[in-house]
Amino acid sequence: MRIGLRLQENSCRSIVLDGRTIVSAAREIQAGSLAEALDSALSGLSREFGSGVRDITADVGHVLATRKLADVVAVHISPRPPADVFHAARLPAHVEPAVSRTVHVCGGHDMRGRPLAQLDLEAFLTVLPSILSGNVRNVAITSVGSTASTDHETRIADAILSNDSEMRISISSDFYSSVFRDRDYTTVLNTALMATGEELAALLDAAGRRHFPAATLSFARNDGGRAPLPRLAVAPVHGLRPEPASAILGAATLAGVPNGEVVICTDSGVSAGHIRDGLPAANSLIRQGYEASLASNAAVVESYTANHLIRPDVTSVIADLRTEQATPLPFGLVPTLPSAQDVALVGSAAAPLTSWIDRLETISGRTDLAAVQHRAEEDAQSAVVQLGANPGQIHIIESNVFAMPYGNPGIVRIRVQAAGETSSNKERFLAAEARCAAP
Amino acid sequence: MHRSKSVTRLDIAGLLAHGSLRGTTPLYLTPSSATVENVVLVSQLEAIQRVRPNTVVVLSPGMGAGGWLVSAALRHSWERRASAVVVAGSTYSDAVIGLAERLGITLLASDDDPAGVALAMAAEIGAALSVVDAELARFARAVAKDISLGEVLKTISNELDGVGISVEYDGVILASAGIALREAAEVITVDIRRGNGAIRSTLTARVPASGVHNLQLVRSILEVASPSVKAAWLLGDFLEASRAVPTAALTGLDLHPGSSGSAFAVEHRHLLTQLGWRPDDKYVAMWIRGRAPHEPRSELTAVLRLLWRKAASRSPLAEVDGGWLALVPVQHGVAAAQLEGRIRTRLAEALAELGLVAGLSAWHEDPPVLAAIVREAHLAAESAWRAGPGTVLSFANLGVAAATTFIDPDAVGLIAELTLPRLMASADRDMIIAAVASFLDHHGSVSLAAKFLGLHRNTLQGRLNRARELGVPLDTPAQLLSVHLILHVLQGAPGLTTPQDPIATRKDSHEFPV
Amino acid sequence: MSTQLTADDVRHLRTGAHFLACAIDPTAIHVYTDMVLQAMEHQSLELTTVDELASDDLVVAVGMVTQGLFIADMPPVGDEFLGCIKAMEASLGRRVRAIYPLAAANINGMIPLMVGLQASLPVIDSDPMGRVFPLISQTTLNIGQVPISPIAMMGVTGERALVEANNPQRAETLVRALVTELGGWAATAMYPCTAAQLKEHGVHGSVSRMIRIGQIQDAETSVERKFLMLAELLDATRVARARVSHIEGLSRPTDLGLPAQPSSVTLEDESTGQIIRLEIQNEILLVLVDGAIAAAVPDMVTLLNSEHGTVVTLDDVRVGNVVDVLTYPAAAQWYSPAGLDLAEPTAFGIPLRHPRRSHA
Repeated sequence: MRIGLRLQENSCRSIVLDGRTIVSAAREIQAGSLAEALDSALSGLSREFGSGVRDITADVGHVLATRKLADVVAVHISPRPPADVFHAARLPAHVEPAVSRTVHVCGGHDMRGRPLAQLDLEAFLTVLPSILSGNVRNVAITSVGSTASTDHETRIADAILSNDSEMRISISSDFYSSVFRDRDYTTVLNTALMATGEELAALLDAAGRRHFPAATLSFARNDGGRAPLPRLAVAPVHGLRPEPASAILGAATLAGVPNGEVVICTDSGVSAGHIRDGLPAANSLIRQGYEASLASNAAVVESYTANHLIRPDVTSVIADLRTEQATPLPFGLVPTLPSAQDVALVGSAAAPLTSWIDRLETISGRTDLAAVQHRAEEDAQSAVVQLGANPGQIHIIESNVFAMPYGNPGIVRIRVQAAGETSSNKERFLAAEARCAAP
Repeated sequence: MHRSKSVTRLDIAGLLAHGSLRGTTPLYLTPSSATVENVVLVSQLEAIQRVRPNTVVVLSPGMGAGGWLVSAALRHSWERRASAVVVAGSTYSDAVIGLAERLGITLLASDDDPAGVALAMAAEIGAALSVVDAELARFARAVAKDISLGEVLKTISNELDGVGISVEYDGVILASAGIALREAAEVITVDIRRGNGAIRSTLTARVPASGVHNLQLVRSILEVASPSVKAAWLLGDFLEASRAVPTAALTGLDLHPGSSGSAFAVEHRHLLTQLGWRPDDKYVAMWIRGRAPHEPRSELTAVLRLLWRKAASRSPLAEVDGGWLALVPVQHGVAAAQLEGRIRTRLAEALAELGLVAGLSAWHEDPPVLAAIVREAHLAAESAWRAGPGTVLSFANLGVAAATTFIDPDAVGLIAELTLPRLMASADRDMIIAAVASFLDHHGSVSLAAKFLGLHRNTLQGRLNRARELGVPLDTPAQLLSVHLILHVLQGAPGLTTPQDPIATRKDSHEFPV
Repeated sequence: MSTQLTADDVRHLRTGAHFLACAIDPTAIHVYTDMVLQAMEHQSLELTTVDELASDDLVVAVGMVTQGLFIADMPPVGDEFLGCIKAMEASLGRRVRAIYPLAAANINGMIPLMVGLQASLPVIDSDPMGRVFPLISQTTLNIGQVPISPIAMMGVTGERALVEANNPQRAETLVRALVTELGGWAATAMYPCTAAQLKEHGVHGSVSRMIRIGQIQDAETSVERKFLMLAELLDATRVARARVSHIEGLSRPTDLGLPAQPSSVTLEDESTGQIIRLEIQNEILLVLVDGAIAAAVPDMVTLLNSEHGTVVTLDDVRVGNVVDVLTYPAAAQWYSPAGLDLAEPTAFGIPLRHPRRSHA
């Protein structure tokens, strides 16, 4: 059995899942503080289900979003600093105040991974004491061309850590976006959330150990998967918006559909996503209008319109999550799931371990391409193993190669998603269905 | 020989099954298999815009690949009604194949070099064509052996499995062979003679519309046969012209008016014997009169000779001054009537088309004076002319009415204007003319004339008086004949009494004034 | 006649610039627009017509030339264009009097506004393309044989180059090579000429046209009404309203998640059954309807969301979307024989002649 949790500032919502069946419907516990609510929820569940619970996955997105961001020093590596204030990178309004200081370092690479300028480490080292002496403990390092080379970013990070190993550092090459602004935003946000992430990880760990000492504890990821709690302190930004993906995964799990379309109807509208091989189809960017995007793998969700293509060969799962369900659904939709399920919570509970490889490679031909792709798939699989998965239970969900536009021969983007389960879980629910269904 | 001519037709299904398209993969096949007559290997899209229908378009690999290229090629090929498009085999998306289906044109992918496929197909089409060529060559040899036109047409028809073949002039069928069709037919014509520019002779085939014949092949056969047709026709014409000399010579021999037949026979006995005319034979003469005496007629002579064969195949038709003349040996009166019937049935329509008339001499129990019967036929033809094109008239049926055929209506009209000016100018002219003519027709009997016209006697009398007032000399016996004649001409029937036609008028009709 | 541009004008220009280049992701345009709006707060921005200038005034085209890099990946420092103008002035020994866009579409439609603000130079309401073209030799100035050189270039590194080449195709090749080494894009100034030359050979009203398109698109009216206004403004026709049935990419089969640079998009018009094919090489070069050419470069093509009337960026097209395919003619100079030589599909490696050429 698995438990899915959704944490908010003073409440904890939980659900218990056995296979594809809900054994304990969603219930919400409110209390004076998050710790209390969590504790109360888990103790109740422990009394009921005790040792049958193997996994607990928590959606901590709401808490991450509402807690105050820590102050951040942003380090920008580029050939030259902005000439005027207009050309300085602008962060979205909710993040900008967190950046207390921006430091420029000369350096950066082009798309081929060649340096545009020598990394001016000496100049940085002269500034470093002032960074360390302030009370800011979080640093975000973003370099031009970091998708092609991590070299300059890691060297700056190393320089900081060798002087103060307690600094929390995020570097932009951990996140994939071709847009400097997106990487800057994601890195700053990530490092600003690290402290909160650490706190939440500790909280969950303690509560989990108290009530379910045998269970593994994870947090829900934006792509619908889960990652072990310690990761929350390192890459909290990947736990910021799991709900849309969890909803898709949850609806698909309840319906037993590992491949198909998932339509979610809420009070605010109708949206559609896809589930493939047991996980939501994902994009590497979370768009926010024309502001900077968050470079984190998340479910692709589109609004459902009158022109929506109905494909007879594709299974549709339609969930009605409206508070008032007396009126029929728009667009002539008919729900395929019994109503009033908290599908997102189900999805959290059902989430598998996931990991991504998303990087640029230079290739010289077709065989080279095949080799590079194979290597990426192996890297993705070992990454999932590192998260705790059983090597025998890992699947490659997505493996694609993309050419870069406007004439960059030989440079391709390789993108691989791998998913797995711990050995205590016999099978991943939906993967089992997928394997039986596959020819 | 009765072999179907469809064996040499190539189509996509056949080429795919066991022909040069065997190695291709059909990406889309039209439900009905398209005919293949040609193949073209293109290296530029524009080239497709110039191909003929039923061509297989092969895209050269040098054009590059690309769904857009195949889409545009499909479109151009479809516009030109090509049989199919062949492209180099790579994977083509459903989108491209969908366009082939939408336009309804076959799309094939070739794993081998498409140029190789094109070459193989060209060889196959060439082989099919050369089979056809061999057949045509064999046929040409066969038809060249035929001498007479009838034989040639028969050979052509047999080659085409009995299809109706004819030689036509201005829409008139002169000679034919094979089965004439009632139902809808494809008509294929080939010109065979150049007369004056407007009218031509043709060799025509009428092929059943639903049949298996390759129309292109039919045309080829007609073209191959047309020299033989021309030659046979010319030869026949030439032979007949020399046989017609004795006939033509007759018109050169004078028949003095008033001389008796025996004097003629005595005078010309030697010549006639030399020409081959036997004194004891009985003949009927036929004279065909043309539109105008001096019109160029040599082309019509050849045409008429063919037509004449339908009625009396052994008597030659001579071209003479003023028309055409033939003398047919006829031993009995019944045979003469049969001859007349035959001429009318078989030639009248054609003569009408050509704007001609025919006159026949009367049959005589005793062997006739040839010049005399020639003259009879001539006169009959002149009379027939007034009745309109296509008329066939025997002198035996003419009687004295023939005399009025020689009246020149224009001259009479002019005389009327000059001598009866007041009559001509009066408003009730037509009424007066009808009254007087009827009066004279009825021997001067007012009662009979009035009855005939449906008038009261007094009314008629009044009109006659009116005529007198207008200067018509009704009371001068010597002039009555002329008056009667003038009035009949004015009434419109040229030289003839109303309302009957001359064939029905008999010698002893009481309408003639005594 | 010169006008002061307002913040609304700039926002509309952003919409119009994207409209005219729907094959390109508009993120960079948005980033740049934000910069311009910010800079405009304390300074006025002047748009002038070419008539306003004295006929021998020196004017120069400014624009970014990219080689495989999104501008957003390597943000400009902000002094690159000023450096180019200085280099140009030093080379020619004259002051630049006004600037004009290298192309009045995409980000190069917005950049001159920033440059104008920084350099306090007026922006001319004319350009030498009227649309996006991949090569710097594809300009109406080139048709008119106005020299492209000298070309001043400056990269984010601060390195600067002056390229002098008589042949525009050679200039293009040299500039490309430098752009690659400068990191993937460079700020450039080129086609220095007199106002009279620009007046004779340029495409006029092209900046205000972008603003006007943006006004129509941003308005709160129905999709049909917007289309009618666009049809009138641009002489646009709607080739089809069709559903995307197939997308071919440069790369492996597309995933539901990430887009590939599509090289061809096929649509089916569900009401007429017509099959529409778009052929793409960084721009939409060809529109085939049932295999017959409905539009070919230099004709312009924009995809609109059929429900909302907003521009659909090519990267966002998915199988199943219903899209309006709009086509409208480019500036008249492009349809002359010299223009078609530079801009018809043959110039892009597609061996098709432009349909309007056969009538010429």
